[in-house]
Amino acid sequence: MKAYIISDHDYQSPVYEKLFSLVHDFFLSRDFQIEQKSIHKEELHFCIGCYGCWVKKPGECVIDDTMAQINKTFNSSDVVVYLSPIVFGQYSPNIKNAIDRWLPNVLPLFIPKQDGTTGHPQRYADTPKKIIIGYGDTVSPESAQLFLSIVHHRADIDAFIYSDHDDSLTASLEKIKLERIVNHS
Amino acid sequence: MKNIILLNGSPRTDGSTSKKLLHLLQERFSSDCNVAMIDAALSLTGNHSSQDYASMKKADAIIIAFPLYVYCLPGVLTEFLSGYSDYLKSEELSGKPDVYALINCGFPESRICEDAALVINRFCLEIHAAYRFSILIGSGGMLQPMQKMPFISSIWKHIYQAFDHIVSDISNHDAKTDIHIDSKMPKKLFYFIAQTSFSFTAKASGLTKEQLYRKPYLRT
Repeated sequence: MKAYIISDHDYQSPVYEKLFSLVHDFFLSRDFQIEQKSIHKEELHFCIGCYGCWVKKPGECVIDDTMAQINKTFNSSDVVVYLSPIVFGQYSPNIKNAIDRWLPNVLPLFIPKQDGTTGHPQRYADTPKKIIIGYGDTVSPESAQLFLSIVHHRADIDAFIYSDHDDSLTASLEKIKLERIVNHS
Repeated sequence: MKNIILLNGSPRTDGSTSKKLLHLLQERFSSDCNVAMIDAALSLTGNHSSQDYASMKKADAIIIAFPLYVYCLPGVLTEFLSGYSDYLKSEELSGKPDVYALINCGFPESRICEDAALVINRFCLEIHAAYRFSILIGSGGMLQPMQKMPFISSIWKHIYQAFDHIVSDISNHDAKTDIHIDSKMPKKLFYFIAQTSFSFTAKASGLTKEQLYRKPYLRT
């Protein structure tokens, strides 16, 4: 089993160090092989909204940078964990760039979701379990609530806020089924 | 004279719906307003964000237009606003500018833009600006290519009305509620048009329908 931990190199802090150790040790103790990616601002371009990953080179981003390797490792993992600083109640810029460039992994089709809104179906029949953990030196309840709300638009993602309570996060991770998800859409 | 900044948060340099909306809004300001456009993507890639931040610091009102990316702000706008917040740590705002957002999403439901409006609100709290309201627009991807189609032309009518609310509010502070704009197009028709459009674009790139479903990173 493989876990892929993606984090933001530009927002390292004592809180991040504790969070990373906690998540790393959690998966190590469960015999996961761990791969890690700490994203630098310079190595990942923002999504340019060209839809090339749908209509020119389906399934692959047309921008030639680190994202190709991230998407390759992402799709070969059993669990992918994003450690995101919370900025204005959403993801940090580097993590947001990585998440925006998920787009090759879904299809240019439109389907109704259970909540009545519209979404895109997955490109692959099965995909890694995705977990997103938001953190910060001080995270207001409003920012935490907004962060969770944003992530929960996607029903297949588990999201948590890390606020220096190791036991609480470990307990939350223990409740998750740590294996790939079979997509029915 | 009011200083107004129109901030395009779309990463697209050509054909950006957000930029088009800002240009149309710009036409509605009277000549006694000093209106300037900033493009977040060009500002960052052209390394002139410091000059742009200095312009924003003088603004009485900032209108941020952007497409919804994965239920919140695009990465490029996140980076630009985060940089502005850092910039203001050494260059504190003297006044309290009004901030508005124009958010368009590719899906038909404008309500999925609500969290992005809250992100703009939190950005305002952090820089001590005054969040006023947002205009949340569904079916954003169809606004330009299908503007004359009945279901879409009615969206434009509502957008122009919402623009008038912004223009009035900057002077009078007489509105404060987010405005939702949705098409009445049946969803099945929306899905059909959107999917057909992507299929045509792919075909123009020399792809077959089957190739749209390629799985380059299939796990072995």
